[in-house]
Amino acid sequence: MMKIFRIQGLAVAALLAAALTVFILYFLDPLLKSLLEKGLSSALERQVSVGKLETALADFTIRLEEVAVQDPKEKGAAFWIRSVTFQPAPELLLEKKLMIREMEIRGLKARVPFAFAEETEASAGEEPKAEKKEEEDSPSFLSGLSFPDPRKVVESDGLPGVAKAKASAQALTGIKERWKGKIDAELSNEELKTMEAEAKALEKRLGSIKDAKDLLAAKKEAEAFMKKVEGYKKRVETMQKEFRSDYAAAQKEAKALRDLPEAEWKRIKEEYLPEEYTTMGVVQALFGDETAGYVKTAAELYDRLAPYLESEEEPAPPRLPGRYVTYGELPQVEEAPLFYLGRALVDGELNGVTFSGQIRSLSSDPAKMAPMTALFQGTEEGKYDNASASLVYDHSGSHPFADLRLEIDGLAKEKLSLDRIRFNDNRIDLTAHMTVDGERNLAGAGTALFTKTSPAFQQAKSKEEKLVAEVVESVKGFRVDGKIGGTVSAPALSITSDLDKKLSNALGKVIDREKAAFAAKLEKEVKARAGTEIASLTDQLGGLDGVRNAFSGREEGRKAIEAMVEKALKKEKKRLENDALKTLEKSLKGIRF
Amino acid sequence: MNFLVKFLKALNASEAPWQLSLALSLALVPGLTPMLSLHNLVVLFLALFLRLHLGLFLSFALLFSGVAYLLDPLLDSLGYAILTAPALQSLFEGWYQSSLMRLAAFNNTVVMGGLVLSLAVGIPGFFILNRLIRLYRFKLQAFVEKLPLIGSLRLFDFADGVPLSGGAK
Repeated sequence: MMKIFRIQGLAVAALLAAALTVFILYFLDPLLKSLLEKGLSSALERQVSVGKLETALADFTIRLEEVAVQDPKEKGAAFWIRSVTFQPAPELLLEKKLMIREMEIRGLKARVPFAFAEETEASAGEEPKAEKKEEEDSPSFLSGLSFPDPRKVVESDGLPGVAKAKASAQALTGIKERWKGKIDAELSNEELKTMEAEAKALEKRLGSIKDAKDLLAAKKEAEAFMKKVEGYKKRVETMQKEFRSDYAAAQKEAKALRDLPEAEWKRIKEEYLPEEYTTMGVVQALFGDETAGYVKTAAELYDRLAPYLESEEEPAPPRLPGRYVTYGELPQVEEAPLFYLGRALVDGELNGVTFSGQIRSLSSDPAKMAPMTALFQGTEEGKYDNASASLVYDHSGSHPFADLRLEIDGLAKEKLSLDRIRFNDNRIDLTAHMTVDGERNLAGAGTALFTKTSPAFQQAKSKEEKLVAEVVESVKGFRVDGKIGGTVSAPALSITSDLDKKLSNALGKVIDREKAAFAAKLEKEVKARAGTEIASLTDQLGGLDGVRNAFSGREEGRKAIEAMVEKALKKEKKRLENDALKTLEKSLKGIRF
Repeated sequence: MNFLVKFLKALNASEAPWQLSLALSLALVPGLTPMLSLHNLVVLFLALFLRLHLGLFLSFALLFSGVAYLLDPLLDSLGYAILTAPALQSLFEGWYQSSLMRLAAFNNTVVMGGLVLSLAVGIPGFFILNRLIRLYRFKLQAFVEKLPLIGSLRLFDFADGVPLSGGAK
């Protein structure tokens, strides 16, 4: 016997067996736990912790407890699972692939995009901080409704037209003062009176002419006087011409500035209340962020899930790997992706709503799973309170597909919060339909009707927030439509809602009302400022009218003197002519032919 | 060359023929099947338990692994034929339900082909080799010893002084 068996070999084998037993009993679980945490953390790019790991080698079962996937952006776990039990395919573990036929996931908790009221109330302690943030956010969020103080608008604008009017009024004051000085000097001198007296003396002189010789002398005196009057006339006319030019320019300026208040209002209206200031624009400004928030949340959610969907290229094996022949549900090993989950029974809680369900055919590379999908064919239906779901799947033909229909009738949700709007006492009716075909193309649409809602805009403090609150509270129901397309790895999700339209109708009235009030105040302010300058300008023009009248008086005086001298000259000329004729006649009578 | 020298040394050494033939036969299993397989662990334990020529076993396992590269297509076809043989389906379906058997990768065509071929060649090969070694030691060893080239290789140096021919059975 001793010649057949090797004692040392037996000892080594016994030692190896003992070491293996010790390793399995004391070190396997902690080692696997550590490897799993490290591997999952690396694969998911976020911290994954496993509370406890137990292996049962008899049936090759692994049980994990307290699995938590940390949220990289927020404190706490994004996913939390109380326990996971599964049997990995051992032959694939050797190929560094994880294939699980059956899995049980119990007590799954995950964060979802909607922040329901329960969570908001639970985090009541953090409210002051959130409130402060909202206050900081308010100006930009409500900028669409934030009408400024009209007086400040006028001050900041400066009203350049009014400044121009002010400059014109100042220039006019200068002109007026200059002409007033000139006309006062003109009125104060005795030149016209002297000429009047001289004219009267000349008139008297002409009346006392005795003979032709005297007449010639008087005529010379009259001509000299008229020359003096002509000089005066020319001087006054030159002055008057200059005045008329200044007066016309001032009038032209005044005429141009007459429409200043209206022009300034028109300009400022264009600037501060442009045509683009439409209701829809304001709605977009107010609620655009909210919609963008959904897209952002969906993108973040996809970002979290993306690592699960990614697959890696396997390195080429050194030897021909061979083929695996299957005798049950498992797929061909060489076709198997890095990760495959046949079926998982899941139960858990999503924000207070408990659920249970199944996950089927989850794979890191579903394209490679086509041969085994023939095993999944059938219909499943489920009902939970007022919700029902049906899944029809058929992967047996050349056009495999999965068709999911979901209906929820009259789901009562006490509180539902968006970022700033809370909908209370909601009734939600949801219908959704989605198909996934063998090429992993997604096609689906869904509609959610929210009725009997009592919306409220949270923490309305400023005037603008109160206006939004007024608008929001007028909405009594709305619908949300969703469409999904693209592929499983790159889904294209679009969400539309008539909430914008409903809010815009209500908001339009509020905006129009506020806009009209603001416009009226602004118009009053602009016209008051511009009107003051125009009145000042009119006063200056009034002063110039006085100068014009004085000029007219001077003109009349001069004309009277001229007329008086001309009349006297004419009269004397006539008288002298008559006297000459009489003398000539008398002389002729004494002559006898 | 190294394998040949090792083999010739073993052939002319004091070990019993079965120790050599079993080492060669067993080496076929890890040689022709993928090295990291569960059954190879069993074979390794067997090699450790049994008083066979360990050096020869390891050397020929390595040699057969090289040969297996060339035989892989054949092993794959053979394994597939066995695994899909209708008469064996119920047996394999039973095995497939066992995690241990799946861990042994019995349903891999190369594993199954390699294992079957190694057993098919190894079991009769054990007896044939036994016979041949005996024949060699009785009839050819004395002649070979006299060859100048063989003598220079020092194939007949014995540490324990056990006689050349015969040996334990």
